[in-house]
Amino acid sequence: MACPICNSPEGAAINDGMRAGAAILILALTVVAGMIVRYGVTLWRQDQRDA
Amino acid sequence: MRWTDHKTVGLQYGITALFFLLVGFLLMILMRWQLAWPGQPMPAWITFFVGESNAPGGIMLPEFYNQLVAMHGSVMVFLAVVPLAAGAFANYFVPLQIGAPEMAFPRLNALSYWLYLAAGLIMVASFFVEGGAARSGWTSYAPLAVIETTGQNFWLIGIFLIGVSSALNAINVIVTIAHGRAAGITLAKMPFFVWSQLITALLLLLAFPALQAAAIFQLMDRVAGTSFFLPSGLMVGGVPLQGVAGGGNPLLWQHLFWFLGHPEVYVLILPAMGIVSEVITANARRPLWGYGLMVSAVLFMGGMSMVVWAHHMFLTGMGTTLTGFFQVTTFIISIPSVILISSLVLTLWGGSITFNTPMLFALAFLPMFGIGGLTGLPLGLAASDVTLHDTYYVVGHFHYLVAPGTVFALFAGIYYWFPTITGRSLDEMLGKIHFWGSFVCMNLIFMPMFAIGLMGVNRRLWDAGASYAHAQPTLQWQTHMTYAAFALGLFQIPFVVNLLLARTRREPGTGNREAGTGKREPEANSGSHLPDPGSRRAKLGIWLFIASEVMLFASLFSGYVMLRAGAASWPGPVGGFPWLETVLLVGASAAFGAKRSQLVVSNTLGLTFVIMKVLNDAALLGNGILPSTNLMWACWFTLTGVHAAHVLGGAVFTGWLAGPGFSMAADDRERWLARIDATRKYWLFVDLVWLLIVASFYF
Repeated sequence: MACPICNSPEGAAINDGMRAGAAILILALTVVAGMIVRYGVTLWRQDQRDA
Repeated sequence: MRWTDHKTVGLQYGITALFFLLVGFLLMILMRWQLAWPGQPMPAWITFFVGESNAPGGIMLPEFYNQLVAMHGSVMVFLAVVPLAAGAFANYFVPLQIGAPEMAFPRLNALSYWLYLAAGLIMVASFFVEGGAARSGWTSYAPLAVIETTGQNFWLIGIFLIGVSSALNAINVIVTIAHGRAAGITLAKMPFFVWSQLITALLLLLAFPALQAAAIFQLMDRVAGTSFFLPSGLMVGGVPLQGVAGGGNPLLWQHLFWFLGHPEVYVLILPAMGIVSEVITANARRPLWGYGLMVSAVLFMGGMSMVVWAHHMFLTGMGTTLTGFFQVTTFIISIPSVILISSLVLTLWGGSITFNTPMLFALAFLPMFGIGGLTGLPLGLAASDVTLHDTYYVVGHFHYLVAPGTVFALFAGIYYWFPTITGRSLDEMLGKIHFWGSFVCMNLIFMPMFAIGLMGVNRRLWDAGASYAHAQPTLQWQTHMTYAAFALGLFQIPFVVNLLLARTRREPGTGNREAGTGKREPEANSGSHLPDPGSRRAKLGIWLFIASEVMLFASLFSGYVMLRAGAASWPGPVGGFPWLETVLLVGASAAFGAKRSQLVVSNTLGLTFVIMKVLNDAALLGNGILPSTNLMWACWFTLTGVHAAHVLGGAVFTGWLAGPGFSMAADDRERWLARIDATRKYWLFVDLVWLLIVASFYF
């Protein structure tokens, strides 16, 4: 896809890179946050059981 | 006094952060002087302190003004407000509110403070090096920051250390809350203040590594001559920049910086919300309205705050896909903010309100935060951001969130808990003078900024826009704002006097002590350990540490992918598969165990891996292959270097376990096995990162 701003192939490549890099950050965050949420849910259930 | 006691660490954080608050304030006063009377000489005594080299004849140089701008923001955010909100209040009051006798890892907790102090001193010391302190704004945008003077290195090192300090503090807060609560204090019964600190800690843990990765990249650009952030054909002063390979991307810095930078806003705001909730419930004599709703909102807000970062980058031409995504997430995050503020206001409904000093600060927080939040909406829309970006409007917006917003909440907390901490009370009259003076002056300083920004005047102008026709009508406002800033300084004197006079007031505090801390005596819970000494704390602690490390390496790999996918061409893979290194590293993990012999073998293999890495690097450098050769080698040297530092850390710790630490194996078997299990997980993580590096560079 050509760059929507400048329509140049270089701009398109840079944009693709930006999207790929941002996607990696979001992906890693999703995995880590997902595990933390899972731990939190376990803790919550344990809490409810003990209460 | 025990240096590892959570109250000692909390007080250390608090006192140091207040000192840095003063430093940041004084830097602001100098800036305001310049903005009010640009190009005119300062009084001789100010020039004496600033130095003739920074202000020849008393006239401030633009270069020095830029230092003030960069360091005011950096000091206020990283060294004053966040450490006060998330370091001081969390360390002192989270254990008290959940009935924990101590933080989960007291020694690491103390270390987090000392690292923060070292970072602060390093950053401030940069004023005295040649060229002065950092001067590329608190955002340190590349490529400007890359080609700046030595002070920028100090800034980067300081930021990296603050990241380590934040991670240690965050791990402590999270593990203490998860496994240190007294019987009966379930998650659903935790005070909202504790929830706010929990989410704050999670944000710091997961977001700060991105800025650490960015700081490593920028240090490599500055010290090793790489060009992560330097594009090809960069001109400096009309001349092409020499001696760099180019091909880098300045936007990589912005992505990584704002990945922390935006959650950092919530790191400021969430503890403030927590403190205000305590003060309002106590002084309105009402329980928190919508506790469950508020907890849900703060959880949602914490999660969303991690995926809004690029709304700071709408003008970078990052494309409609990313712009659309971040615009939508930005508007979604305003919903929990409204829920929180509404709940705090509704808590007042039907209450019997006491308008004492902490309550006044807490009540003022609500509209101030409201103004800050609502003025952020036009900035979250890409279309209106085109005109508002980088104007005084933005400065007004975020200062309403931080200065009369968060700082007021912190003052509320200080007044509210001062009797609990010291057993002495503060004078109400002095407190109210402090409040009303600050409230009026803050608005006189920041409200005109919206109008100035809407008139199109850019921020960070050394002369406040005196050389631009459209800024002429705003110049007199700058003078008025400066007078208000001076008055704001004067109105802080009653606060200082109040603190000093409190030494003589021995009577116990007012009703403030009744809430939140449960009338606990400050020393009542010192000197003991959490009830769970063994595996659960260590297990969660190491998982959280690894989570933070995952984000660090994800950020580094994200940079690599951004550059590689965005490059027109990329050099071929590194030749030869690193069999020996791989065998050594996997061997170090496989050999690791609870016996001393296993630890020694693991330590030896780990150290050998590091030695191999050093020898390999030396051979490459000898053959003329440098980090600055091209982007591929820049990425390779950086990623393998950071990884090798982790292997070295693991090997040294394993060596310590085999040596001085081995006595625990006999003394406290359960803790020993927990420690072994935690370290084994670390080794496996280091292995995994190595395999990713091999997959990225050798095929």
